[in-house]
Amino acid sequence: MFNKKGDLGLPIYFLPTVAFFAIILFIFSIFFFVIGVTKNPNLVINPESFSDESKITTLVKTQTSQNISIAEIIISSAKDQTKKELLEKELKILLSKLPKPEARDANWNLDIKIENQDFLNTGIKTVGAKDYYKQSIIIPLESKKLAKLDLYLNCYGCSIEDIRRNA
Amino acid sequence: MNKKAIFLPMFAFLTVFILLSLLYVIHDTEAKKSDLIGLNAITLLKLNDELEKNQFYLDLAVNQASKNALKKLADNGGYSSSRCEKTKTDLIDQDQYILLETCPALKLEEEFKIELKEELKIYITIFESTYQEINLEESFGLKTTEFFKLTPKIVKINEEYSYKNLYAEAFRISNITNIEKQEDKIIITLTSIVYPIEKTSGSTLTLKPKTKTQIPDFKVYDTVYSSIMNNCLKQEFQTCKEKLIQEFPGSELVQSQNLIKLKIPTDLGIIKLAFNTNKPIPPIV
Repeated sequence: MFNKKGDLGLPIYFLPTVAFFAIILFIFSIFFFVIGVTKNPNLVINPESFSDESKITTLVKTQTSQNISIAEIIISSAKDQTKKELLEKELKILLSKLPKPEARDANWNLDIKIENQDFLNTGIKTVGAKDYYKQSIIIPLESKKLAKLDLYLNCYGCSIEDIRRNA
Repeated sequence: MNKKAIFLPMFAFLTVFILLSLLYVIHDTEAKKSDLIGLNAITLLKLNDELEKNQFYLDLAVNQASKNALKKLADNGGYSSSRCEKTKTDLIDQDQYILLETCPALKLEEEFKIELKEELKIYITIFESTYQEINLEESFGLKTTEFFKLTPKIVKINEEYSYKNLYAEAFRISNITNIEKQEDKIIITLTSIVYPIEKTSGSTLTLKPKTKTQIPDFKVYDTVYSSIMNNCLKQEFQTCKEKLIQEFPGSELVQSQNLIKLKIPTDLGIIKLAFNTNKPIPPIV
């Protein structure tokens, strides 16, 4: 079958060997490139998760046209319901200034709850929209109750790219 | 088969061996690294936000505590609670008034500090945290990777032992260590609060809470006490009543025997007290 100079049986085992070789390379390329076992398994955080809660902190500290902060208006309107209108007006102005994806149906909302009871909901909510960048803060009231503020971007049809670029 | 002829199949099998070894070594080495890149940064950032919010809560709380302290002081004629004896309630008047003759000299700033401390302590104990623990599924998409068993399975922590509760509790148990006057302000210092950083082993951030509030203007007490001394002691009730109402519109005076019960509405609250017209009243220091 074989002579001394060469391998006469080459045509017999060459094809199966090359086929075997190709299969091996195919299987390992799946391991290395598809499953990615050579990649570091350490997961990198999504950029959109990398957000702080500075918006709500800044919002409650913002001085209004009345020369008092939003937090102080919340405290006084919890005591005196007539100041609620002023609070709502000031909040609407501030919320409209926060950056949001312009091409989408996106709105910043602020919900205020006192002892788990709705006190004020400002902003526009769209049915079927998702909430992004939810941030909360607690404000102590004169009555020794706590007001909880939730700020979030309500957006319909926003992609991660929209949010990342604009908000 | 001659020697040269076995090279091709041998090379094929050797490749399998080399690739398998490579796969094993890489996977084994990488599996030992269990970091989630960006996790430490985000937890640090989140805790930093939490500390800022806690400090802001404290700054607001001290203002509310100050308002409440002033009301309580007014309700006790300028004294902190339980400093003086009080009148007994009756069917006509359910309110209790401090008996000025049983009170020591009035040190308004000291009394204010005592009441402020009490009030602020209440606000500290009712504190709630809004801290949201990092969502590993949203931030790292761990669900998919768990499928490939590349990362350890995540164990959900009982809410009771969550970082939110841990941080709230750390704040609630902090004590007021010092209240001192600096110019026209009162500086309040609390014990340092050590916050463990989420999902790290032993790393902490320390908040050294300090806040301040304006010392109120207590002049109205001087005026009230002087007016009582000049117009009411050893005077007719009617004269006393007329003079006080003239000086402090909206005041209410009620006499029972030698005792006069007084309510004076002021910017610092309704000052309530009772005094005996035949006995001296304590001075304001």
